Amino acid sequence: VEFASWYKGYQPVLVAALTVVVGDGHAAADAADEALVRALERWDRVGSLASPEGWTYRVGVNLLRRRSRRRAMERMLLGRAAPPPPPPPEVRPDVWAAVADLSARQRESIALRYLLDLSEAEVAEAMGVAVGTASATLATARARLASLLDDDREIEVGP
Amino acid sequence: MRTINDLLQPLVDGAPAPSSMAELSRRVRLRQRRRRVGIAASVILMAAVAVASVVHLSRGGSGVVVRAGRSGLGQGVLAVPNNPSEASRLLLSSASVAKVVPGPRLRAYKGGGSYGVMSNTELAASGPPQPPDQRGPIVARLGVTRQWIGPQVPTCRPVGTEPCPPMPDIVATVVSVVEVFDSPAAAQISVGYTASSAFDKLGAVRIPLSNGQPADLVAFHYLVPAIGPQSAPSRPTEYVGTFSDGPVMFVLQMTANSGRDTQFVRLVQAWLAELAPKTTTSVVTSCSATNLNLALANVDAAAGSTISFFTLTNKSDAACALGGYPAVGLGDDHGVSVPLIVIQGGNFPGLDALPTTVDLRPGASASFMLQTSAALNPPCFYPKQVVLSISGGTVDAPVNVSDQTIYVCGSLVHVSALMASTTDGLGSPGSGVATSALQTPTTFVTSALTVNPSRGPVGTRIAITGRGFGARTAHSIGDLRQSVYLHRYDAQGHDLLAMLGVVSVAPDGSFSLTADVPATIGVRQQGVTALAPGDYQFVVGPTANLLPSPVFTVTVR
Repeated sequence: VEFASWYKGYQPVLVAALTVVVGDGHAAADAADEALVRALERWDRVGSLASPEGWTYRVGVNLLRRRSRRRAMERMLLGRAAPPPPPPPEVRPDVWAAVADLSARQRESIALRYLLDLSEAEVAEAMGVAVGTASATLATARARLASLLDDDREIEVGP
Repeated sequence: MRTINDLLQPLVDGAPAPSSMAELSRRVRLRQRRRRVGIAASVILMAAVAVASVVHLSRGGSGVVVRAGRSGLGQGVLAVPNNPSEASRLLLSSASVAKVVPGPRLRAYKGGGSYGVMSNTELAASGPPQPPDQRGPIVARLGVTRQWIGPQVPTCRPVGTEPCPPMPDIVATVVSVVEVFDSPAAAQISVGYTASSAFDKLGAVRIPLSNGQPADLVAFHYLVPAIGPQSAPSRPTEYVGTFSDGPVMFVLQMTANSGRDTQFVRLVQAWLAELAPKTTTSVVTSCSATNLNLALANVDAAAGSTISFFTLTNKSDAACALGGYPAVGLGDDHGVSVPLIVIQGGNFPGLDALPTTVDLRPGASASFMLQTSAALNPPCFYPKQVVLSISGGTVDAPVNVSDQTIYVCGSLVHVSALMASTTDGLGSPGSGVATSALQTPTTFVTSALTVNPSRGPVGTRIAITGRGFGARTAHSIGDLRQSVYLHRYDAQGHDLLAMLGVVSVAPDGSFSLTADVPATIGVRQQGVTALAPGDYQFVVGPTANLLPSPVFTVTVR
């Protein structure tokens, strides 16, 4: 796979997936940028992986977690709480509220399955869990989204 | 019909445009360059640490042999042991160093452990007296501050049949030297520290140095409340005592036996927070020992130490006065006085008061606190008697042997100044500290309240003021609020509680509440009952696990 073409198609998807996971579009964009730089740095190896997307996503999530810990420490030292990030304007508020109401694992499974378009096996690998666990998490997330969103909008939340 | 993909697709469409390939390549080159620089810096840093810290001590002839490894300390060594109580014995100067032996390693001086060492050259690094930091009528300067971080685990040699107490893992030792100039006879000096992680168990010793010679250990602060998740000092640790001109060394040790991530601990700042003359108060003592009754009111065990609260009640028909620091002694099984080093004040964070005169009407009480260390310094024992010398006589109070409430390790104890007890109906001392180590999910803070049905205290208006809980935790959003309860276990062991109110904890950790002592108290989920005669506690909390222990005072309005 040639990096430039892969990068061009994958970058917005990765940003969107990380946004769903972390709830902060700016942080997600930064983390995606850094993860993609690291992918380029090691493209000889990463490009030959079965799922370069999964690797890059993992790096992005780890960066976000590190950033979250650092922010928590800063908040502790400064003695003030950070305001919650604003919802992304691109998504309908009710949809975003429903997504935000999911658990972190459920959000992650949704992002991997429906934005990165990974198979359930790849979702499981990216999340570091068994396939059965990933499937169950996805099913629960879908059901929860269905219950959180109004029926009259005719949302199909099936696989 | 829309799918999840459709609903989330706007996120993909709205993602910021990708950086150009040229920009990505530039950042890759930058990362590679940073990595090379970082590796080189790490190697240099590791080499520097190795040279500076490899020192071991042993006895040798008339002094202590220092094998300095490659540190090249030369003459004059200041050694800071893991065990603060040994600091005076291991505070070395050129006079007490028998010789400096080049070599990589030698046995430790006593009981193992490793030691941080600071050379006299380093001590004098900031030069001769030049007082730039004038913080009050006295002049002082924060001199050298050095820090060692590492898995320094002190060891313990059992004495007799006494088992070793739990030994904390000391993860950081910090030495700060404060130079004092033009000091009056008595002064109050405050040195504060802040860390990048909240820490609850700290030890600090203050050792005045006179012309570089070792002097007595004058204070051991086992609990230093100044550390908290703060970027600026707001609660300095105060050291009240008599100072002479010259350097004063503060040794602070952070321990990590509370089960949290010790890799995250870094001391980030030490400062000289305040220096002010101590207010001198003339203290009048006219009560005689025969007119006083000494009683143990309450004992709080907290983080390796116990604080015992005593009352001295005027049992005569005439008023008298008491004041100053009580001359306290502890007796063993056979009534024999145990040798002690009694340190006046300095170890009752938030509760320490300067000496004053307490007027005692007939039946009124004064109170004081006795702090003993229950860790680090064997041998340990359970005192059976507390003796006070007053006006040439003595009063004593037996300590309940079966309870084994007061546990003393080592010979250092701290005694507070005598304080006026609160009022009729409210027992002394009206103050408390955390009763359990912070591993416990709920840290309760207690204070004694004695209900005297003939005089109240139902309906009595009380004020609770204190501080604690730190400023904010990583998880706190908005105001930090804590509930305040009146608490008691009844004869059946039921947990009786009556909520007095909810306090908002200010950003600096302070809180206050005014409430009336209620007429009823509840058994959880079983209704309420009338406030019966007996001893009650005030409880502020529970607190979150990582928060520093709060302390507070209860007074009557």
